[in-house]
Amino acid sequence: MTEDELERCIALYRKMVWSAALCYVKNPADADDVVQDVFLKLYTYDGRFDNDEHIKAWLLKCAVNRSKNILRSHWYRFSQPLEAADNKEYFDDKDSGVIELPELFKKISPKNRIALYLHYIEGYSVEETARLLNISKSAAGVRLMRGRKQLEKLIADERGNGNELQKDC
Amino acid sequence: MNCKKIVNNIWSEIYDRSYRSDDQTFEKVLERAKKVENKAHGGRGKRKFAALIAFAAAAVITVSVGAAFNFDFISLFGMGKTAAEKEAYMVRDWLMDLQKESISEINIPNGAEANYNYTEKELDFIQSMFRELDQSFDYGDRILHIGGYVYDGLVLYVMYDVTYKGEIPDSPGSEFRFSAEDDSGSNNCRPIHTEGKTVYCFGRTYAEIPEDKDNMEIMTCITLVEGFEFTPNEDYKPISFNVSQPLNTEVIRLDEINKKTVDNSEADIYLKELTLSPMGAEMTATVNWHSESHNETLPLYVTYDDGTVLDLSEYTGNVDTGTGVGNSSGSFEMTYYFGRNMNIVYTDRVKSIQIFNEVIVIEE
Repeated sequence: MTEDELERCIALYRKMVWSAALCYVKNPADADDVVQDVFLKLYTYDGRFDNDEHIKAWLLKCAVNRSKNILRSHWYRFSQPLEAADNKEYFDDKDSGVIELPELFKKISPKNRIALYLHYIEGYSVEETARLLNISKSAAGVRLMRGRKQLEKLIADERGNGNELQKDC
Repeated sequence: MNCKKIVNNIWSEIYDRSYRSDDQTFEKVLERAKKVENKAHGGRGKRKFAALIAFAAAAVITVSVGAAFNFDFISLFGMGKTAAEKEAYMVRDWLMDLQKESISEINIPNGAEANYNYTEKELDFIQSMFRELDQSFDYGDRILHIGGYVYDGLVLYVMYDVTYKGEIPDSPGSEFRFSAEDDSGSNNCRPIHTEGKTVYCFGRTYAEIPEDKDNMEIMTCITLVEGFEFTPNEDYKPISFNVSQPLNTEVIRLDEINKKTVDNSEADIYLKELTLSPMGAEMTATVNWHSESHNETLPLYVTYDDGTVLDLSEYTGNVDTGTGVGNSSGSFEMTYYFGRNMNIVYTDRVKSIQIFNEVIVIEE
């Protein structure tokens, strides 16, 4: 891949890769690292891509795998006790100090988060989502369903009215 | 408002909170790619990724040795008992410090309470997996001695000491860098104890997690930036075995494991491979599934030779269900990872694995 192509891909897909990584690692700095790793891999990749959609799917799959690997690191778990213990996830914002992640984002489990992200934000079908996550179609469906249920419950809790959400999701 | 909109709203709040812009990412990727290229042409050759592990040298911790000390790091440093105890104490303290540092970097808001969750038990793995190396290298003005290492397949910990012939520099120990897979993520090393002109250090790598087979070379090759390479003795071998008969067993749902709620759903599980390591177990199995939840199941008990039953349901958190690969025959393969949350499975003592009522005896 040429530098120009890499630059174009970063402009097109950096946010996507970062968002997918953040579904797992819950920390913007680690998500940034994942982004870098993934694009380095793209840059040094010898294979051919059929089209942009192919690149996009390849990047997402790399991001998911890389993020999962980071999660498996003992050191990663060592170094984020606050989040693990208190379920507190923060961004260190350069300008305004600390930004807390949206409550809803925090409370959805990572597995469901990534499924929701791929399906609703990136527009992948259940089957495509399953392929990207390397799980069965039914498992992808379950994760989406659970994610939706989590959302329903969370929003219902916020509103104090469980029935209203049934219509939304 | 519908689900799509809700999800969109959530992500719109977090979009573009990345520290790096497109341009910065582009530059960084090119920079790293150049390092890769330089390394590939530089003779060491095998690695695709150049690596540079940054050492965060920090002040030497001075810690009094407490009476209540449960570590036995004697073999870890190959030293006399008192000195080893000091080292172990300081390693633990250093890790605690790192934890505090990482918490301080998070900018805890007023009123929030930091929660330090290192425990002595959690650090036991360092000792359980430690491999002595005992190699010395003379660099003229200083002698590097590598006492041993711990490599859990993801993170490498190195215990080493440096004896200076002249004055001890401001950042002792930090002149040695351990080359890993790539330079992503942070790496850390700290002098933990000084005796005379010898500085004892403990280092660890991070983010060298292998993604493909090539990257696994980190397991057998550690390179110091000063040109020295060594291959650790891999005397630890995980236990592997195959079972061809269906286990026809009950399983537990992973997502409920913390609550210890057993879901007695049944599935035919053909165990293909189960690998135990001190860090836990990894299991690959074929499952004739009839329920969508069967890719989120887990064996529960490990029995030691003395009859002790290790209840894996105590292993909370960080349980990875791995991947399930479906096929048209209605079965799929799955991989479990469990017990990796700093709980140790002593593989040499394991005599059997129990998945509910099914007991699998491990042959010698």
